[in-house]
Amino acid sequence: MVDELIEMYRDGAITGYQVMMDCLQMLDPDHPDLVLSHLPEEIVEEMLEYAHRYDPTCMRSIAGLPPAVDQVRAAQRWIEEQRRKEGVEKGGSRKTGHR
Amino acid sequence: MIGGRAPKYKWRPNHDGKTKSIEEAYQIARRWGVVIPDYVSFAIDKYGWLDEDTTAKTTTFKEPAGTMIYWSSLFHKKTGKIPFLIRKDIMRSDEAIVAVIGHEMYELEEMRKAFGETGAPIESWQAEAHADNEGNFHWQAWDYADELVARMRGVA
Repeated sequence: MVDELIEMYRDGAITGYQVMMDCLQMLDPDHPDLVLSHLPEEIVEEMLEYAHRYDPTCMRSIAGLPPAVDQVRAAQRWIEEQRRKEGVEKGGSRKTGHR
Repeated sequence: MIGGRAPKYKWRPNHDGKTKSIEEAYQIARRWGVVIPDYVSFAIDKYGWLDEDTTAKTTTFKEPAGTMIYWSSLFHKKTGKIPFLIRKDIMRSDEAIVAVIGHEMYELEEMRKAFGETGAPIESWQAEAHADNEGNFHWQAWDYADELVARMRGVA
């Protein structure tokens, strides 16, 4: 379904926010990579911003339930870990380049 | 979404059984007076995500209490349009097409008039879109949709 969401997003049929929300709600907290590794960078960025403002004590929804806290926190951890790894790799490359 | 205030008429399928395209649906809706702004786009829900109570939908916001939702939040950042998905079976009935697109455009326009300039907290959007809040924009939009179908049947 992730591929279908991305296809519909790229066709302009749904917004990036909707992709982000639907992906969070289908995410298995034990295996967030199954969903998140497929997403375009701009959706990942939007998801991280969402995770930062998400507050499980006071969520409101136009329709349906909001994503569960374990889904949001698993996504946040995975994204931040990916960023950290990328930062380490970039830092390592720069260092090599200066030699 | 239907829920709460349901449409008054059971929409009749087209006699020829033909499924209309999105472009044809725009023409049919406009013929019956529905205003579809250029900044709106509809796409068929080809993967069947919409349930039996949801005839069409745009972005569904789920945010902490008090979060401001702005008119710009509704737009697809790459197309510059507000996207709606419409359920596949709607396209088999001209009455359903007019009612559903009419409903969505009425509700969207009321939201734009109310919240377009300054935005509003999610609670305000929720109150106007909720299926069970009698008299809200969502209810008014089904009244409008019923009027359109009545006009199509010549009973208005």
